[in-house]
Amino acid sequence: MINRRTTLIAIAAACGTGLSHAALGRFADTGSTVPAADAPKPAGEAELRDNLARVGSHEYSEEGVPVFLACVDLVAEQAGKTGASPTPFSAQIASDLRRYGEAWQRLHPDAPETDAAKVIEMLAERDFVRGAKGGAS
Amino acid sequence: MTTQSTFKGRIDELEKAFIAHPPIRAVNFHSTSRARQNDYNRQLERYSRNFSSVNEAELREYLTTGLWRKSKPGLIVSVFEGYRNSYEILNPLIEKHGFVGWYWVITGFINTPVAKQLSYADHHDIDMLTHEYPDGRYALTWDEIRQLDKNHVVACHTRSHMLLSKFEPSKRREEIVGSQDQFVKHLGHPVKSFVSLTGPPYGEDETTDALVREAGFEFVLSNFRIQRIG
Repeated sequence: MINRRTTLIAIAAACGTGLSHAALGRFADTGSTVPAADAPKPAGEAELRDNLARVGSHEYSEEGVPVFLACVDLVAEQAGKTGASPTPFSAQIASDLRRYGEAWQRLHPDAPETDAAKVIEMLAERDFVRGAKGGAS
Repeated sequence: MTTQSTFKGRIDELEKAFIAHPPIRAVNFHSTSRARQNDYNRQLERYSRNFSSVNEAELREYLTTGLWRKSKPGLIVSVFEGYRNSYEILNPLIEKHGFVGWYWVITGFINTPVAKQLSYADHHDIDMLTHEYPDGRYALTWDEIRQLDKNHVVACHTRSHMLLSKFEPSKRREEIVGSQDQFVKHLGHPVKSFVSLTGPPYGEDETTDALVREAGFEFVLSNFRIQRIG
């Protein structure tokens, strides 16, 4: 709980001021990876910074914290069947998790395992603020 | 399934989990103080515009078939620990905005005498920033849990909110099967969903897994997964 807030503030600060445009390009919705020197300001950068700042200001013991859950049907998997199929939103979450995770680790090579949870929460916060435009379910 | 001990390992593990399975959104509440009542109201009102409620039957169908029958995406509203203010402050707002609350209850907290509840919370990782009840009762009562059980999901959050991995098997049995016994005693039926402190997933420890199966749980909530196990 205590570390979560500090970490999220740090993520917000890093994404707002510490990352190059190239790194921010990798954060952007477009997935752009153009070189920093030629990169225009990525679309959604300001929104991203706002969302990250909002997450970083949470008081976790008394606030509702948005997250995503992967729905795993172990009964089916253990029977050699496949459970419900992933959705386009599954791929979007996975892709965003990868990009944000890589960016965070570039800034903090010794990031603890627990920081991964913060990345998920950050993505969920952004999705909830946008009004769940990321997927049907 | 193994626990990844590095940031990259954990990201890899989560990426695999999300890319292979359908996701669902959730929001996690803990203590919900009266002082923040208006904030909770605004938050849930905002969510109600974009999300719809999820009960266990709907989760089961979505998880097994991928079918989601409502026009808006589902949102699991999780409320952890079994705080009195979950019932008095948050639950009326959950109902007002049309959601189903998932109440993850620590049965040992509920069964602790009122005079000792604050001390119990201090020693069992039950956060309480706001001490707002002069009468000293900070946990739900079983009467309140029975009320919640009528229209919401009541679920097991172990007996004492301690790390299961630190317990010998006999003690772990008390935490899992013993806690389920409490629900049977007080609600008249077992509950279907389980989560332990820090949310380790099913599949990490065979001793714990066997006890979770023995207790008859269908769903195990962990960090960023909900698993159907039976």
